[in-house]
Amino acid sequence: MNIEIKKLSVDIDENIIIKNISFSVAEHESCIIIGSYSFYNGILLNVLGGFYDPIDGTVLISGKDIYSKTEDEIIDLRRKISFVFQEGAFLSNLTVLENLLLPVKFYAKKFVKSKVMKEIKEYCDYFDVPAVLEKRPSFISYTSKKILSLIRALITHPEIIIINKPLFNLDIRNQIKVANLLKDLKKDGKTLIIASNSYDVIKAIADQVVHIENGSIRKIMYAKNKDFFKEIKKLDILSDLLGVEDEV
Amino acid sequence: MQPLLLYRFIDKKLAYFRLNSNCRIHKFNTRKGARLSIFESAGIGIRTRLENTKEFYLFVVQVFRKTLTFHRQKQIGFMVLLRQIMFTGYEALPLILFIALSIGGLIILEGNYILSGFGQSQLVYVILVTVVIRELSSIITALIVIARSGTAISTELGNMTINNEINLLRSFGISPISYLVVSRFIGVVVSMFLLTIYFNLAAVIGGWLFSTIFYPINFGYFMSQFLYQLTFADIIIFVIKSIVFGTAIALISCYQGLKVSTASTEVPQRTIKAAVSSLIAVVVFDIIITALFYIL
Repeated sequence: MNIEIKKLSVDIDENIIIKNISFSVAEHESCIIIGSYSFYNGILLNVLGGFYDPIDGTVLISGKDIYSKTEDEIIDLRRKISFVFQEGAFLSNLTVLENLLLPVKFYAKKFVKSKVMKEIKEYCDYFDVPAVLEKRPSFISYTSKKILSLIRALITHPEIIIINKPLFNLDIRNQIKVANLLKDLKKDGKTLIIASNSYDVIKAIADQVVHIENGSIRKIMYAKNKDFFKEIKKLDILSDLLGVEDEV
Repeated sequence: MQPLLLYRFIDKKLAYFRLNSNCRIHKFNTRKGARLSIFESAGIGIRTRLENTKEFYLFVVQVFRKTLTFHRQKQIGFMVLLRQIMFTGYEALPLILFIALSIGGLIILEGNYILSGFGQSQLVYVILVTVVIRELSSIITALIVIARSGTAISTELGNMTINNEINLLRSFGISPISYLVVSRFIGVVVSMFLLTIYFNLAAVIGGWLFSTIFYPINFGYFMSQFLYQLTFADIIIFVIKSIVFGTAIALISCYQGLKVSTASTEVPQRTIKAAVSSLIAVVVFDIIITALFYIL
């Protein structure tokens, strides 16, 4: 599934925040969105996720404009996309496990809990997540929330994964694990759109980097170009140390 | 940008319809220092109200439509429904029973005192049926449901919107209307109906208990007199009222909760609106149903 953004503009309280942005992400490719202010990147990801209406432009996923259709019409499309929020959003009235199982239960024609639980256990073992599955989300740490929201996104086996700051709120050990996991996802042919100012993430998976400043595209850099890493290294907004991600 | 555009999950007929679009025009004009004439202000006010009404209408249509397909989502929505019935129906039961016993008793006491002066003590059963069964049972139950559940639903949905939980559901492709609204809607309607029945039973028993304190009376005789006065129409009226009131409370509370956009300060404002609007709706529907009963 490919994503195409055409002349996208978004406003907040009548102020144009995203200005005339156009770029596309081909199937199985990964796009990293960088910028001095994570605010703009977050807004852009939310628009790609179908949560905010742009004032102008289109977001085409597999050729379908998600903003010209109702929620019911894009429901099949949504099932192929997973979104990981920056803070790892959870439904507060459900336990962590119920939260993880919710999309799987919803998607499955025949829900086999043991199969999903096995998958969850494998990911929890990989990340060393403490035994928090039966707890309410308000009782777990930000690190656990972030990792568990990533696990929730993966167990639905999406084709496109949109992640807002994958290394945010994580300790170095888990940052390395997430970076490795992203590499595996890319190998598996997932289409990834990630907002992150981490050089490590770019180095690990980027096919293209979209640099956004003040809501406009400053530059789009492609990994296939010879000077890609030279260009990337020139950018002072990136952090090349795991454990430090630029947050503004 | 509007963080939660209700119309996005309502209907595509509203594709060009923006919430509070007129408020934007108003803000824009005042910011520029332009003064609006009385007619312009009135026009903007009327248009905003019409748009809000249209939006609510489409919301209601969508909820009814999704209710018909609720069984398809029972795997995830059934638990929410059970929790709603537990909260609205079961947990409110002691309060309902206490109020019903008291009201039933007080009506019998007052009725006996006044009517016995005219030698018409038998009419106390007519009052019990007319006042309690037809009117008070559904109205008082509705008031309690508004105070306990309507405000809770509105607050909960408002907070969920602010905490990104609505967007989370949308990211799964789960319609917030199917998952959150329909289960609450069914839960409140079922609870309201059951609570009204319990209210009526408790009020009748309360009436008998109070009457035995001052005028010893056999329970069998009391019930036979009461059932003699009770008609099928009385039962139909309280059933219709309880279902209509439950529907109004659930829909208004859910709608106001989902109208919260970004600020936590909106939550209490919307909750107050939900409670006030529900109260007005209940009174208006009560008048309409009672009037229709007498007209037809």
